[in-house]
Amino acid sequence: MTGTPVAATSRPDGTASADPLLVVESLTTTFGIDGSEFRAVDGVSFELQRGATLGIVGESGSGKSVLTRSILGLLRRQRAQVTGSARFEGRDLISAPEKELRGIRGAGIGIIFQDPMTALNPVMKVGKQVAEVLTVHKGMNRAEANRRAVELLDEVHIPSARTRAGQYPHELSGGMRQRVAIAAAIACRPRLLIADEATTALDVTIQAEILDLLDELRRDLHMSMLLISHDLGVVMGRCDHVAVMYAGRIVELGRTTDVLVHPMMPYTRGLLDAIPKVDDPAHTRLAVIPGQISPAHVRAPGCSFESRCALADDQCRAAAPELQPAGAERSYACWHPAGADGGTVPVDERIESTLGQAR
Amino acid sequence: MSGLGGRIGRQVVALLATLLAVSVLSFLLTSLLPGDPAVAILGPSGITQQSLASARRALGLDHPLVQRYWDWLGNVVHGNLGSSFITHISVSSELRQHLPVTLELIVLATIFSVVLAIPFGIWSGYRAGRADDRIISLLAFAGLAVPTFVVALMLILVCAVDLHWLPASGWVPLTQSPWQNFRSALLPALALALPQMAVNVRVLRSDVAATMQSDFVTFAVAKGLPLRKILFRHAFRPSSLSFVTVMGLQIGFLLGGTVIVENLFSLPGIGQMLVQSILSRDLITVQGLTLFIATGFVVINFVVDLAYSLIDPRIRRGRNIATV
Amino acid sequence: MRGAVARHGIVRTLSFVWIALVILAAIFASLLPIPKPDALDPFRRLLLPGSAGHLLGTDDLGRDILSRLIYGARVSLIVGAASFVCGLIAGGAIGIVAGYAKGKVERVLMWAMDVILSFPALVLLIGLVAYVGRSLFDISAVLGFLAIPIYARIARAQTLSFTERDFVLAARASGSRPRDILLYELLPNVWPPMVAYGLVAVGLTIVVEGSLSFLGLSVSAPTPSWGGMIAGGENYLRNDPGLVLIPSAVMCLTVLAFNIAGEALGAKTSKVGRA
Repeated sequence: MTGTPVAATSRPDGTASADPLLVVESLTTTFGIDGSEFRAVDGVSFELQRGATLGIVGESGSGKSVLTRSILGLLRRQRAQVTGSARFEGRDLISAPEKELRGIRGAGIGIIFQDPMTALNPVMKVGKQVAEVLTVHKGMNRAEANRRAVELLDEVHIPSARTRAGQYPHELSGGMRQRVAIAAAIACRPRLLIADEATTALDVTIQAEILDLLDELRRDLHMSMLLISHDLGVVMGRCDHVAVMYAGRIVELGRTTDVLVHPMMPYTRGLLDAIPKVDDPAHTRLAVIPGQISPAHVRAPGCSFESRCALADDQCRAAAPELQPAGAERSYACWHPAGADGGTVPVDERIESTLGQAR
Repeated sequence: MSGLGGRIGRQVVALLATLLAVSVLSFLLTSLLPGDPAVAILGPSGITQQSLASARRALGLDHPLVQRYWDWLGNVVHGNLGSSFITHISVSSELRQHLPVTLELIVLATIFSVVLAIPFGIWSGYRAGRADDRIISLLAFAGLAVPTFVVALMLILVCAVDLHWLPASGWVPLTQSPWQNFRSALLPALALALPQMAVNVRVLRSDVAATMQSDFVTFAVAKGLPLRKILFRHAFRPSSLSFVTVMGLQIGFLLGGTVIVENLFSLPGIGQMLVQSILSRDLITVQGLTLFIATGFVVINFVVDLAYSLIDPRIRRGRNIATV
Repeated sequence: MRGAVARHGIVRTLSFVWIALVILAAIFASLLPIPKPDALDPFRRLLLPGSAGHLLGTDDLGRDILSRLIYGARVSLIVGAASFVCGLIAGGAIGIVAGYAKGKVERVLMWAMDVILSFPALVLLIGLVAYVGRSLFDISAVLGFLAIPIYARIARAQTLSFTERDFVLAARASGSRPRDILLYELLPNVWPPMVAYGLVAVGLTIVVEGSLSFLGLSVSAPTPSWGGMIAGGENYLRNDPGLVLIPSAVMCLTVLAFNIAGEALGAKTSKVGRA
């Protein structure tokens, strides 16, 4: 492991564990499109401890969803080439045969997707969509599984669960559907729950409800969680650690408080500035990061954020910065990290207050 | 009434309008097309002043067109399709005798074409773009170009002439011997089914390929379900909806196809009856059969439409709103 | 992927070449160095393909199979062309008018089309032929009539998708007469997908005519037709399957070629439409 800067995340109490739940190392996912290669995920490494929560943040196209799908082997049908390793409880998922993976998906690792409108089968009763996980992984018979499915729907706070179980997805609201998906994901008491933009498609109020539900379930069921979002605000109060992804790479990683209070990478800083402030006067224009992620096949050898970065210079254009450690549980990939030269970045009160509220 | 009930009501009205139009068209076949139907019925050799006059009276040709239509429709509604001018047997009783054969063929062929298409269609859609999908798709496309009677002849050549597995012609009624009946129906039903199977494979393939891309299939994979369940429960069931709509059209092709295979395999169904009556210029029978077949086709399509809305809960939503 | 595209390119080219070959042979049949299709050669019956003077052999009456195939192509092609022309002109006119006029006119026209479609095609065809007659002209007329509804549907759908586009609205706003809008604005956009479908429909028509001939309900005996040849060979299936196989193969290949041509054209026109 020496040589590769592995960004280590640790337990909520701060003590490192020798037995992490998930260890991802140099994970790279390449799509071949019309003869040219497209690296959606480019050498991502991180560790996730048991019971810990890691937030992965980045705008669309940064590769966060491809990352989770690569880990679960959901891209095997697509023409994607995945290299590196992702060891879940010691077993490498990348090289595991499909059959072994099938036993881990849904049982050891549960996942929830972005759009509850499309993630449920429209012609299947929701109760059955939960129950089928149990018949497959727990060997329950149909009656047992149906009974348990109702309990699970109850567990995710769906009112009159028994009636709901007999309904089709279109008869449920978006938030309700996402709860069904969560029920299916936690049915087998997985050790890891991946929430892939699980609240993005929902109304703001429902978003908070779902996030609280996930928090509650994580604590009650002692799960680890990967919370993936384009929205730093979602990740802020709910994750022990946060990884910022840009153009397929992790560009900054650390304890959530550290990263938010002292962002080292200009991109992270930009994401923070894009969060609306409570005490802004009305109609304040939000700060935006100009431009968008450049398509991978036109990427130059330099830092992929270079074209949008105010601090970019010749060094940034010449070579991409590696992810390098900066103190305990902290790493960044930037030639011009803020605060690296000892200067402190002013703490944003807004973030402090948000963190305070969430705690 | 704004829900399913209202929709069914509207569909029934449309059905009745279409049936009325079908009856008018069938009626006009003998009334408006060039030439005197009485002459056509008697044939060039049998025309005398007297026979012509009596034939015209028997056909009611001395009445005005609209009245003739109403008289005829009144009879039809009571199940009286008239009697053949040649055999003097009532068309409806003849029809009753021939119908079971055709129905059995259509049912068997539908089952074959669907059951055979499902594994190929699902697999091809699942493997979209790979070599095995290309081969299946290519064969299905080529299969579209092979007419029913050519398929039938090939089947006869291989299964009956070369291998002596099955009879090349003839019909054993179900009541006489179910096994022999199945043997006599197998080749014609297969001949009917194979071209349809090509259509079904194509429809199912493109649907399954599209469904495989959907989030709920990815979710099903992420739930750790075995491939069999992913394909049949999650990819096939939503795809089977458009499959059902194709079925309506398919019955139409099958009805045409039975005309061919019944004649080719000498099966006493309504297709053979139709061709025989045309060859003997038995126009009353032709008219009655055309009306009967078209009516059956229209009604079947109506039922398929209904079935479609029953299968898809998204369409069925209307009922839930109505009951809430 | 690129290899597959090239292969498909070859298949497409072969299809067009085959169609051209069949059409040319049918037109110039009388100039070709082949026996007359109805010339009997009683001493050389049931010759196998490759026999001297009869490239593809002879049938049960000693008639040259190649010659009958080529002359038989005339029936298939004339019938196909008739349905193509009728469908394109009549179906196109009905569909464009329905799509442009909207409202009651549209409903009545399309309902009439649905009624025709509510008959199983082959049954209605057989029924009509029984009354109208079995000359090549009769058969072509009936098949042409039956082709109209589907062309009309396509034309209407295509028209609907264009009537709200800017150039049509602009023409309307500038006071163009409806006739001019139909002819100069809509027609040029409506016909390409109809032609693409038309090629597939030609294949379908050839199959339908073949079925009729096979049943003995199409053009009568001395005129050779593919379906008739196949029906004639049926009795010799055991000893001389070539009598059935050769015309079957030619018919299937021709239909396949039209299907491929139609798909190719369809892919092209839909791409143009999207752009």
